[in-house]
Amino acid sequence: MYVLIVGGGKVGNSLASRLAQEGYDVALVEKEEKIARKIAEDIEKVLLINGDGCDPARLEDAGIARAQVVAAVTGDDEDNLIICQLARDTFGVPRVIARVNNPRNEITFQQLGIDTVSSTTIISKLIKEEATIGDIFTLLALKRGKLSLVEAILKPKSPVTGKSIKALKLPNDSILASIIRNDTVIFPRGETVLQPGDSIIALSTIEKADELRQALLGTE
Amino acid sequence: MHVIIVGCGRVGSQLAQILSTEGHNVVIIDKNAESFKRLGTDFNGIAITGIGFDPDILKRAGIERADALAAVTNGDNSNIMVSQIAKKIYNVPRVLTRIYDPLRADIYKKFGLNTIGTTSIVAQIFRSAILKESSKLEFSIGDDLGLIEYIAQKEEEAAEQGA
Repeated sequence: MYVLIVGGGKVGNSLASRLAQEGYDVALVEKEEKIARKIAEDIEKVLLINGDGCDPARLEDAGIARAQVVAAVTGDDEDNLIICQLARDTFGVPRVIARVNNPRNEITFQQLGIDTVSSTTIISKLIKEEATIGDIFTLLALKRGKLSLVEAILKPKSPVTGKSIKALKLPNDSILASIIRNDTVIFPRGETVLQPGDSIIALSTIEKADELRQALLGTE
Repeated sequence: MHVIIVGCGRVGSQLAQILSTEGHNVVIIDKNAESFKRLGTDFNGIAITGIGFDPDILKRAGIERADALAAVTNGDNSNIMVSQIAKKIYNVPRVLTRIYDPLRADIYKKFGLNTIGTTSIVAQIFRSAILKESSKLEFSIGDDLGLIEYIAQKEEEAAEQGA
């Protein structure tokens, strides 16, 4: 898979080296010659292009036509927007992702149909999530922190222990994905009865995570 | 008309002065308050310091009731971004975008922006002036605006070129 990254700052730099190490075919476009040179010395296996990533001609040089993913991670939000639009609408790149530096611009990007990653928003959501969930572990935050995959281990006194799945009253925006019992994965059916020590894997929105915790583990 | 101008450089400030003198409601936005000095003392519109594509700044500038917006900062991408916000999110009836890069000007024209590619326009004006051609000079500005220049020649010159 060919991935094109625009912007050779800290984010672009580490993203490029990480993806290259994982075996992806990676190209990085950086405007500043000095920075580009430095990256070329530091990272192996990444094709480095010195030029303005907002210039469609440079993007073409960088082989954007065969890129499956374009990530625009420069420090300027307006540049990231335009890079993603060019990639998607002019060059037909299937997946484009923009870094949003100023969280105020996130809504604009979404209104214009460009997927964003904002570290500020993610961190604040993760903190909020940590604060709400408590004794449920978050395994994975999905959709930029809007949805999480959580794990809860049932105790003998937990309100759901000994009950069947169909008897459970769980919050609307959550679903049990699986149960791990003695290292065996069980896909829950209505008849499945929960036992102490069961590790429950559930998918929930951040808002419902606390309700889910209460439903599974009680208010202890 | 309620007109928002984003960018108070030479073009933006002059446009603001002209429209304001003609009696239009002008709001001009620039990230640098110093640049409002270009407006002079006669300007009777509103000047707002801030980033032009910040939704809060645009709301303060009255984008919800704007009849037109001109994006004339010195950054092509900022101009494109603010124009898309105006056109696609706030449905401003008339949005004009100055773009220096001819390639991007063409691309975004195809995407529906009224782009004014000043680089190509100026280059063509120079070319035409250097060659003293009678051939016409043509630019389209957006979908419904254009500029055509014909340079009249003396008869003997035309005969010479025709020969």
